[in-house]
This record gives sequence, structure tokens and C-alpha cells, in this order.
Amino acid sequence: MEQDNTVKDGTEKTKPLQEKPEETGLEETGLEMTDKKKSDTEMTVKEKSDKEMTVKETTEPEIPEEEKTGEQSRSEANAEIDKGEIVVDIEHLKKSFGKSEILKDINLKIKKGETIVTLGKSGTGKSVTLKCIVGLIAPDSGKVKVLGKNIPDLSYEALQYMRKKIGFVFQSGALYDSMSVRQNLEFPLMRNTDLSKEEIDKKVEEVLKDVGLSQAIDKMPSELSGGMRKRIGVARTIIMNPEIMLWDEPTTGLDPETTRDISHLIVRMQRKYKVSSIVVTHDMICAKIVANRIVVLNDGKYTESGTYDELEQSKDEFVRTFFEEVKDDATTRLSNYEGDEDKKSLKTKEE
Amino acid sequence: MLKSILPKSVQNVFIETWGIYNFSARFFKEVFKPPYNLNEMIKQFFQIGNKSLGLVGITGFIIGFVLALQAIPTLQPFGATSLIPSMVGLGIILEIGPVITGLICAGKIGSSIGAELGSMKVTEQIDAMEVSASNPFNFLVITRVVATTLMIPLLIIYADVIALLGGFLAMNIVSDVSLGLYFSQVFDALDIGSLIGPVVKTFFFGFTIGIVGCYKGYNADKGTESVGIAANTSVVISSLMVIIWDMIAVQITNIIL
Repeated sequence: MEQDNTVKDGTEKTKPLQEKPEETGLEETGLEMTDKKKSDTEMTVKEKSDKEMTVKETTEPEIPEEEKTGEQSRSEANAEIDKGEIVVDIEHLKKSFGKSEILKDINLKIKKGETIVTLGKSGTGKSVTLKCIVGLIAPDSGKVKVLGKNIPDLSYEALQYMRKKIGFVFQSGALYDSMSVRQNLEFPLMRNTDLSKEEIDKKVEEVLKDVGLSQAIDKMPSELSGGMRKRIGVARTIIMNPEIMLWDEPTTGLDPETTRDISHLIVRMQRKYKVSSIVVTHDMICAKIVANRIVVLNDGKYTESGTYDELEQSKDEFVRTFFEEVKDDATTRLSNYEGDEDKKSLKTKEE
Repeated sequence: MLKSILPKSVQNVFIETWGIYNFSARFFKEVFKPPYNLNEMIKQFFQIGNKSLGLVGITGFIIGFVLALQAIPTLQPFGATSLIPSMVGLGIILEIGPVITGLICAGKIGSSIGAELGSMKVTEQIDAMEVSASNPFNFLVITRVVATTLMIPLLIIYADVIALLGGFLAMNIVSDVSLGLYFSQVFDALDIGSLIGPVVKTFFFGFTIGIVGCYKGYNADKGTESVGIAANTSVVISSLMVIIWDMIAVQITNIIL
């Protein structure tokens, strides 16, 4: 994967980014860094490497080499997906709120095992599309077929049955704050399955292990960090073994490290449970890691579709500008985060 | 047509009434359907009943005490102090006890349910239950409305008893009356038939407080401001409904008896 070695002001970087892939994570994201930031990063490479290892040991199980996103595995996966059946088929979807027409003509097909990332500016209807798929919002017109059934035509009972096959991960995690983590995970199983207490306990432990949070089983949601809440939200969704996963801004508000963790978690879930996913995000780090295909939503329609690299080279002005804006934003976030981490590490040393 | 004639505030009243009616209809449709969420129901009985005992008890005591104390100087010149226990009993059990306790419960329980469900709505917890096929209406609404419908009558009976004790204390301060004599005079004034109306209306109070609190919380808009609005409007609507139910109950009782 070729990286652009020039920064925005046209100066040439001293070293290619690939030389420090483990420390920065930029080889996965394709994001650029400023010269100053890069030298800062190089100075603290060892410290960060040590720290990352510590973090991974405590919060995230090691990602097996074969599960990491790579061009080869990605193309193999894409070839398999091309043969798959269509699980979500949206045709001419329209939705207005009052006089504001949010979705004008949405058409989208998702194949079994495929992960689609939806990019677009705020308020363009990305989350509304997800909510139409799961039946939380009724469309004004158009078809939303999920596993062959048109969602708006279903009765409440039929919709409930269909929802057991769809997992929805909310932006905030949406954990039930009066229940502990264990109760949060048990809740959908107790209400939708006939599993015994032992079987439920086993499943709860298994999914918590999958998301690397076995130690949080008896905590209350208020005791968890933002990233942990999102992972528990993921665990609560995958515990029902859904066929389709809908992710509503899974990495918003998280630092780059946790963003990468969550993004790899999405890839792992996709590989392990063979689910099809739609990921709504602004985050290019996440998009780059998880997407088989990216669609860009603008003015109530999907204007562009392709792989990350294809869209990066897009001639469409909106797509190009959007990519540049969000990449700049992600780079700033990364720089700020690493600056904060450097300060923290300096403070720790002083202490 | 009607929409263009009626002012927005009147339209909103009709919209809210229609919404509460539909919400209540859904409650009756789903109340006997499994799952029955017994653990959650017991939790709500405790939250609504046990945790309101102090407030309801203090209020009831003060009402009974003040009512008797106010009546003494009025009736004493006529030599009618012996009628005070009957008057306090009738006033407390038929009217003041249920209505004041109903209003106190509308404030405490109605706002608490409205705020709790409103905050769950705003933080997408209700949507999360919905998309996991867990039927949040069954889990959140049925349990709370059943708990308020059954617990508020009990709270009202409890408040009535405390209020009568308060009345006795006031009487005992100014005159030498025994507890036995006091209560025998209270119950002499009441017959079983006259108790039916006040008891039945307390179930309506309980149901209304629960259903309005749940309706406002469950249908809260997005944003933290909505939580406050849900809590506030729950109290306003359920308090008003308590008064309206009371008026209807009195009319019906007068017609029947």
C-alpha cells in the first residue's frame, strides 16, 4: 500500500510512514502527519510501544495476525462476498422530517459477509437509513428489504422476529444504566431465548472475552469509560448472534488508539460471526480498517461507491473535499492525542 | 379544516389526549401477555410503594391534625365538638385523603417515572430494547403502570389511617377523648356503601399517574431538555387528571347512592 510522502505544504517527509507502522498505526489508516508530530512520535516510539503492549494486555485480546486487515485478506474476502446473496436491499428510500427531506432516493445492496461504510456529513441521514433498516423509523416511501422481507410491511410481531437477526450498536452504547454489565448482556437472552441460566452465563462470559472485557462483568455502566461502554454495547448485540450488524458511529468521541481497537473488533466480529455490517462513521481510521466498500451519502443520495483507495482517488469534488476534511480532522485528533500521551508520559517520568 | 380554525394550544390538547388514549389502549392489549417480568414488577412495587411511605405518612398526619384543629374553634361555640371525629373521618376518607395523597403521588411518582423513562429515551436505551426485540413497552410500561395502579390505593389507605391518627392527636390536645371513642365515632359516620366510591377512584388515580408518566417519558423528544419537560408535564397532566377523576367519582357516587 503506497503512502503519500508529502505533507500538505509540499515539503517532503524525512522517512516513509511505513517505517514505524506499529507505533503510529498510520499504515492502517493512510493518514498523514506533520513533520513535527512525526519527529515527536519517533522520539517516544519505545515508550509508546511499551505502553500499547500494556494497554492491549489489560483491555484487548491480542489480534491474531490473520485477522488483521491486509490487502491480501481483504481481496480474498471481497471475492467471497461477490458470490454471496443479498441480505439488505434498499430501493428508492425516501424520508422527510417536517419540510426537511433527509433521504431523497437511497438505493443500496449489501451482500452476505460484506462490511459497508457509509460516509457523509452530519445531518445527511446516515443514522436515519440505519433506523429505517431496523424498523425504528418508518420510511415515507421505498423498499427496505432485509433477508427478503420488506421491513415497513411487517407486523409488530414479525418485525420483532426480524430484529432478532439484526444487531444495532448505538453511538453511545445505550447500556441500560440501572443494570450491571452482566444484566445488560443477559437481558436480550432472557427475553428472547429459552436458554438455561448456565447457558446464559456461558454466553455472557464468551462475548465479554470476545470484546476483551471479562473483568467488567459486575460493573455498572456508570463505572465504565466511553470505549468500554461501546464494547459492552457490541457484546450485548453479538450475544444474540445476528446476521446483520448496524453500527452507528462506533468510534465517535474516542481516542485514535481506542478507535483502532474498536475498528479491529468490528473486523474480528465480522470474521468470527460472518455477519454483514453497515458502519456509519465520520472516522477515516475506522473506515479504512473495516470497509469492504464505502458509500458516500450527500444530499439525500448515495453519490459514490467504491473501496477506500478508489474513493481517495475520486474525481468527484464533494468526495475529494470530504475525504480531505475528515482526514485532516483525524490527523489533528491523532496529533492532539499523541501530544497528550507524551505529556502524560513526561509527567509520569517526573513523578 | 378544524386544524386551521383551532389554535395550536387546543390542537395540542387533542393530540395529547389521543396519544394517552392510544397508549392506554396498548396497555390493556399487552397487560396480560407474557412475559410478566415479576422481578421488575416487585422492584417497581418497592420503588413506588415503600419509598413513598415517609412523604405520604407525614402529609397525611398533617392534614388530619390541621383539619381537626381548624374544626375545633368553629364547632366549639355550638357545643358540637363531639361531631369532629365524624367530620374528620368523612372529610379524610371520602375526599381529602385520596385527593391530597393522589396529588402528592402525582408529584413524586409521576415525575420520577417521566424523568426515568425520558432519560432512557434520550440515551437511546428504549430504542436499544426495541431493536433487540425485547419489547420495552412490556418491560418498562406494564410493570410501572401495574405497580402504580395497585400501590397508590394502598398508599392512600395508609395516608388515611395516619391522617385519622393526626386528627385524634389534635382532639386529644384540646379535649379528653379516648382512641376507642374517637374511632368508633369515625366509623359510625361511614357505611360500606360510601366507601366504594373513594376506594374505586384511587385505582383510577394510580392508573392515571402511571400511564401519564410512562406516556410522557416514553415519547420524550431527543435532548436533555426533554427529560425535564417529560417530568414536568407528567406532574401537570396527572395532577389535573386526579382532580378530574375525583369530580367524576363524586358525581357518579351521588347519582348511585
